[in-house]
Amino acid sequence: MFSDNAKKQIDACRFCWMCRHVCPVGLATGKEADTPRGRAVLCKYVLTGMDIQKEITGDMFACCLCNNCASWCETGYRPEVFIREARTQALVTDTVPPAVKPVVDRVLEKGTIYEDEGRPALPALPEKAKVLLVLGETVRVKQPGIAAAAVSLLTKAGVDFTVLKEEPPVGAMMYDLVGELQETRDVAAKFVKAAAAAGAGTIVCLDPTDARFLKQDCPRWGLNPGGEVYTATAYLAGLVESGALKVKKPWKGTATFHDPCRLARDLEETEPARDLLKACGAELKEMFLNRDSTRCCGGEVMSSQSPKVTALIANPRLDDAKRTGAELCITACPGCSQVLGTHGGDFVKNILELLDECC
Amino acid sequence: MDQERSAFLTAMIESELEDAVGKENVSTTTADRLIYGYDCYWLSNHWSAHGKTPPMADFVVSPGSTEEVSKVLQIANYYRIPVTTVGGTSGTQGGALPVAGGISLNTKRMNHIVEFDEMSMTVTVETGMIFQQLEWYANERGYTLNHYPSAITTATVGGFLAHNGIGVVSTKYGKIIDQCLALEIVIPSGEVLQTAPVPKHSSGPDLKGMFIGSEGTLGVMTKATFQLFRIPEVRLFRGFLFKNLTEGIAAGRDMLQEFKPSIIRLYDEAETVSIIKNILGVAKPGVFMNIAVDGKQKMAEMEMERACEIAAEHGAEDLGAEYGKKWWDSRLTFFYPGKFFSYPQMYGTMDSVAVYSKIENIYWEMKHAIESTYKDVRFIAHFSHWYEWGCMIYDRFIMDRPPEDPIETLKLHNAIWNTGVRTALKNGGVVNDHHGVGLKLGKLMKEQYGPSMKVFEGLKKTLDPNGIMNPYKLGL
Repeated sequence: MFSDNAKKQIDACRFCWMCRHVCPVGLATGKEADTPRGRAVLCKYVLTGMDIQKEITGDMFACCLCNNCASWCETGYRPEVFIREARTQALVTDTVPPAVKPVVDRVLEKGTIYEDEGRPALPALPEKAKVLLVLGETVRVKQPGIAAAAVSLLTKAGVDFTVLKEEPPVGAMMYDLVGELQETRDVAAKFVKAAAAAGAGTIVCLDPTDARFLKQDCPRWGLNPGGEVYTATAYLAGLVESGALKVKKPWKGTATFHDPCRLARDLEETEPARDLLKACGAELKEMFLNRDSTRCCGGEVMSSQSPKVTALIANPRLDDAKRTGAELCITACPGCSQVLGTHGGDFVKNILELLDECC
Repeated sequence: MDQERSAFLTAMIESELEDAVGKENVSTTTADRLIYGYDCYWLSNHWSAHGKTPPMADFVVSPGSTEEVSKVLQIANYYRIPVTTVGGTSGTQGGALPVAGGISLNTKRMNHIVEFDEMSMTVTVETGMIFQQLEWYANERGYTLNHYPSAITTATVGGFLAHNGIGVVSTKYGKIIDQCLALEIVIPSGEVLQTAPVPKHSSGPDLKGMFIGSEGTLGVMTKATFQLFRIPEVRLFRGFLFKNLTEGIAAGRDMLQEFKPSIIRLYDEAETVSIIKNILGVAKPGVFMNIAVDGKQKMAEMEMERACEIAAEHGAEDLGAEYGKKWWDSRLTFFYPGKFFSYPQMYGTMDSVAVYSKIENIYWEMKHAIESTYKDVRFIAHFSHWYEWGCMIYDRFIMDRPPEDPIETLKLHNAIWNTGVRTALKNGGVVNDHHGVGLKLGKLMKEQYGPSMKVFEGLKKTLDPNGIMNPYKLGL
C-alpha cells in the first residue's frame, strides 16, 4: 500500500514535530492532522490496520506540497513522498473526499485540473525551433498575459522559438494531485513525446512546477523531453546578461519578490528573478521570509479543491508582502500569480509582465 | 438501553459544542481523536509504537477566541466533561494526553498577535500561536523574545506557559514566567480572568504565577503579554575544559556573581568525551563548558574577558570560540529524526534544580542510584540554566535495548523515573526544573510538597470544583 520509501518517511515524521512552524496548512487551519507529523501519524495508523482510511483522505489532499517541511528537515526526510502515495491510495480505495472528487475526475479524464483547455492567441510561430516555450496549464487557462509577455520578450531578444500548437498537459499538476499513477506517466509521456518532436535543444518553462517535473520527476520514469530544461526566469536573466534583451523603459518603483516554492526550494533558484527585477530598475524590498524560507501562497492545485483554505494561506503571505511597503508584489510562477492575484489584485504582478513592459 | 441514552446525550453535547465554535471546529472522527493520543512523552510513543490504542478524547474542539473558549468550558462544566487543553503536542510529560476522555481543546486556531507595543517593549499574543511564529514576528521588527527552547518550532505559546518552560539563553533572560508580564485565563465557570498588566506590583500575591506552570489544571490561558528585547548586537562564545565538575560549577557560580552570561552549559565527563573529540580531534578527560555573552559589543567583550579570567582561576583550558558558534547554529539539529535518541531506545530527561552547595551531589547520587540499580542503563548530564545561587541539572538516562514486552517496559520506565526523581528530592532537588510534571510525575508532587500541596489543591477546588480541567495531571 505504501512503498518502503514512504514507510521510512512515515516512521520518522510521526515522531517528529520540528517543521510545524512552517507548514502553511497547519498554521492556517490549526488542525493537527494538517501538519506533516499529523499526516504521518494517520498514515501509520492506516498501516497498522486501523479503519480510518475514509477519515484521513481529506487531510492528505489538504497539503500544498510546498516542501517547506522537507527544506527544514535536518535529516532530509520528505513528507511529500507519503502524502502523494496517500492520495494515490485514496483513488485506489475510492475514498477521495467529495470536495476533491470533481477535480480528481477531471484530472484523470483530461490530465489537467482545469475545465478549459486554454488556447491563448499567439502570433504564428514555426513548427520547429531551437527553443521550445512551454506555457503550462495555468498560463494557458488562467494567465494568458504571461504567455503574451514571454512571446514578446523572446521575440524582442531575437530568439528562435516556438510553442506547441496543441500543447498537451505536462502532467506536473496531475502528479501533485493524484501521485504516481500509470495515468500520470501516460500524460507526461504524451507531453514529452510532443516536446521532443519539436526538436528544440532548449526547453523554457513558464511554470516552475513544470520545470521541476520535467527535470526531476520525468527522468525517473525514463522520459526525456529532448532538450535542456530551463525556468523562464533563469533563461531570461541569461538573455539580459548577454545583452540580447535590453531594458529600454526602466521601472523606478519598489517591489518585493515572492519566491515560488517550486522555484526556490525544489529547483534551488532564487537569484535570476531578483536580477531581472534589478535590471528593470526596481528597488527590491525583501520580505522577512524569503528565498528558500518562502511561505507558500497555497497554489493552484490546492485552490482548485479547497479555495477557503487557500485564502487562509494566501492572505498572510500578501500581508508579508504589504509590510515591506513595496508598491508591487512580484512573483515568477503562474500559479502564485493566479492565487495571490485573486486575493491581492493589482498589487501582484508576474516578473515576465513587468520585464516585457520595461524592454 | 444505556448506550442509546448515552448516544443521545453525546449528540446533544456535540450540537452544543458546534453551536459554540462552529461545526467545522468540532470533530469526533477517530482520526482526529487518535492524533492527540500521543505526544513527546516516551511512554505514549511506546504505547502507540506497539499498536495499542492511545488515550482518546470524545471530542476535538478548536475554539477561535477567548469567547469561544468560555462557551466550551461552560458546556463542559455543566455536563462535567473532562477538558484537556492541547497545543503543539510536544510535551514530554504526557501533560496534554486526554487520559480521561472528554474534550481535547485544541488552541492552535487562536494564533494572532493582539498588540505590539514598541514603546513599552511588549507583545501580546493569543496562546495558540507556534512560538517560532511569534519570534519571527518580533525579529522582523528588530526584536526578540529571547526564549529559545528546543521545542520552539513546534510548541505553542500556551504550551510553554502551561509547564513554565525555559530556553537556552535563560541564564540572562529568564524562564518564561520571568518573560511573561500578563495573562488572560478562562476558568471552568466561563469567567475570563485578567492578571495585572504591569511589570511588578504589590497588589496581593502574584496571580499570574498561580497559572503559569499549572498545566491546564485550573483553566485555559488564552492571551499572554511578553517582554520584548532588542536583538543583541553580538553574541560571543567560548569553550573551556575544566578538570572536574566541582571546578566547573564553581566557575559558573563565580561568573554569575559579576555578570550574566546568556548561556552556560557544563557537560559531565560522559558527555564531554564526544565534544572534546570533536574540538581537539583527540580524547581528553575533563568537563566541558560552553558559554555565551551577548548584548552591546563593548559590554560583551568586557564580560567575556572576565569569564576567561574566572575560568582560568579555576584551572580551565581555553578552547576558543569555534565550538560555541557551531553549537548555536545547529542547536536544534539534535532533535531531528536520526540525530536524537530514537525509539525503541528508552530515554528520559530528569531535569532538576538546586542550590550550588547541593547540585553536584545530586548529580553523583542520581548517577549512582540509576546506574547501580538498573542494568544496561547509562546516565549522562549537563548543567544548563544558571542562577546566582544555584543551577539546574539536565540529566538523561538511556537504555538502548529495553524489554520487548510493552507492559514490562512501561513499569521499568516508571521505576527508573521514580528512582531518579526521588534521589533528587532526597538530596535537595525538585520534581522537575522545566519540562513540567504532567501525567508522568504527578504522583511525586506530594513527595516534594508534603502539606504544602494543600495550596494547589485548594486553588483547584475553588476554580475547578467539578474537577474537569486536565484530570490526573500535576498530582491534582
